[in-house]
Amino acid sequence: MSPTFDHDGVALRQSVLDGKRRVQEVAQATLDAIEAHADLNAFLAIEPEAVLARAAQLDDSLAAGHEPGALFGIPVALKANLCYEGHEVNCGSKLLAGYRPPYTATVVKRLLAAGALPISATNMDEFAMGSSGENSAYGPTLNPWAREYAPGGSSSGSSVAVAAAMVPMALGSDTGGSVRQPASFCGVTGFKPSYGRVSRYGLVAFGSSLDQISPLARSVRDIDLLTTCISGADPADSTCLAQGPILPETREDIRGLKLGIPEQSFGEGLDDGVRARVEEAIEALVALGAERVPISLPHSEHAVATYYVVATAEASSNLARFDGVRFGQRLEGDGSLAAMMAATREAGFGDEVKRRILLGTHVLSSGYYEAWYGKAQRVRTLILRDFERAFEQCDTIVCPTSPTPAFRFGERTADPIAMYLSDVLTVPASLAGLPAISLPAGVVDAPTGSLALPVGLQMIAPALADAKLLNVARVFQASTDFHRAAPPTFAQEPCA
Amino acid sequence: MTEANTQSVEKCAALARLDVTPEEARQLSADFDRIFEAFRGLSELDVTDVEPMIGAGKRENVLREDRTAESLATAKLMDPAPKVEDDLFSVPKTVDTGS
Repeated sequence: MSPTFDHDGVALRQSVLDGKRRVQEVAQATLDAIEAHADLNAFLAIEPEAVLARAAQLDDSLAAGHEPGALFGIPVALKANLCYEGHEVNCGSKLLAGYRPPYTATVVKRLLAAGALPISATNMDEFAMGSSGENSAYGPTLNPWAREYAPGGSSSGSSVAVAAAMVPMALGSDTGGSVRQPASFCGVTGFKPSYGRVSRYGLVAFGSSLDQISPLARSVRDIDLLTTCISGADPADSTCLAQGPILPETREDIRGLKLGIPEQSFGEGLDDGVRARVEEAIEALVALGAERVPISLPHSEHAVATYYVVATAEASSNLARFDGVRFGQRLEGDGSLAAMMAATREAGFGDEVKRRILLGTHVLSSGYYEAWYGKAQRVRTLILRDFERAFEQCDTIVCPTSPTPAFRFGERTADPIAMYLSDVLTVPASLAGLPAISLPAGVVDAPTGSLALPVGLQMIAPALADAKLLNVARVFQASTDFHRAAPPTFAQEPCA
Repeated sequence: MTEANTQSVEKCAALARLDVTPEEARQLSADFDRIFEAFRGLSELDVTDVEPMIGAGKRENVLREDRTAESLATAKLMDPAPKVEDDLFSVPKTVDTGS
């Protein structure tokens, strides 16, 4: 039987306030854990002195009688695309090697104001483009459940940092599933808020109509805390809705809750083991009084194509800023401005980033714009309408997060389409801007050896029903133990 | 007939300010053939009278108070730049003056 974890950020904070440990001890234990698990390659460019200095400040402030914030003393790992002034933020790319942003993301400022201990920066697929961690210019992060299997991506490092108990919480970014899918592959909880509920100011942009900064933790209880802290209106981001933070709803009775089961999510191509675990998880909800309602999302078969047209188009525009002029690496080329930019970008970007920039450029180019980008924007409307119709019959949609558990490194790198299809179950909620969460739902046997690989249950709610979604997720975790399972080779002690 | 060939890849590369070698252009052209073939269903879908979805989420103008506040300091913003001269970003010459 797998060992279990029994620690979380909420408990850690309480132990500091109760005087059982100081924040400096928490910080040192976190840094020790990160170093002990350096082989997993979850972190890039840590600043230990800065972490310890901040911890000392927090201890001093507590001793001086200042009111401790909601995340006081809790280490929170930050994905390497979240700006934190003075810290290296390289987005998993050679092009931004050594780049230190001159400003701090709104979500990070909110963590600091709440007394958290941000730990920058976790490994990721380059510029958030990938589903396995294999596109990082700094080598992939390894899955602590089975080191030859991918941890998922693009928020690989953030997911593994939580799964291997280096930190209790982390922030990643989810554009087409980049927090939910690695959460599913690593056996942790990952939540993508409704588009517009969390400020993107200070998140290095990939697809601006899709990107959402998203929390990862071992439990919904910790996700609640982190979500409340980072969400809410921000004058610096005009796509962030003028609403307050997402506050937890607590309704323990889910009798009568209608669970929409989309037929398209359980069809051909779904791994038998994943199907079995997800069916068992749905039965656990039914045992609590929820009801199954069959639904259909007929345009979901076009979701991957729609996503890869829209996201790459937006990326081709967003990544135009990386031209060697204002930040990042620079190669001079043959002396002309155009050659300088082309040489800089050729040397700095990896293959997948180049592929997506060129794809995006093509679908936006004259003669192809209406046929591809214009078409994809309209199909996006059809996908949203599918969800709206489904939510007339159900309250929460449940399905697998990924059609398979983690795959081996190298298994999908030869064919871009094979990798893109990893996202088939996560991109629909991204396109529609809906809140979605991946919850651990047990394990399956790996194809070879005696390893176990985690499976994720995904829940999706109507737009802006984030608190309701988190409530159902919390109730599920209150009556199951899947989220307490740990990778078999990891010790049972908490990270601090 | 394929949608993408090496010439169209090279044209996109020029638009995107990316150098691609002839071999890379061939490989990318083959990738795009596979990708657009996989996306064929999307291209054949009837979307008559369907409005495009611009962005995601609730469509509302989010306004803020029109008041003066401090911007980021210029020196700080210039600091990460590869080449700076007289508080300006320095780049290769763009205008041929004939000199």
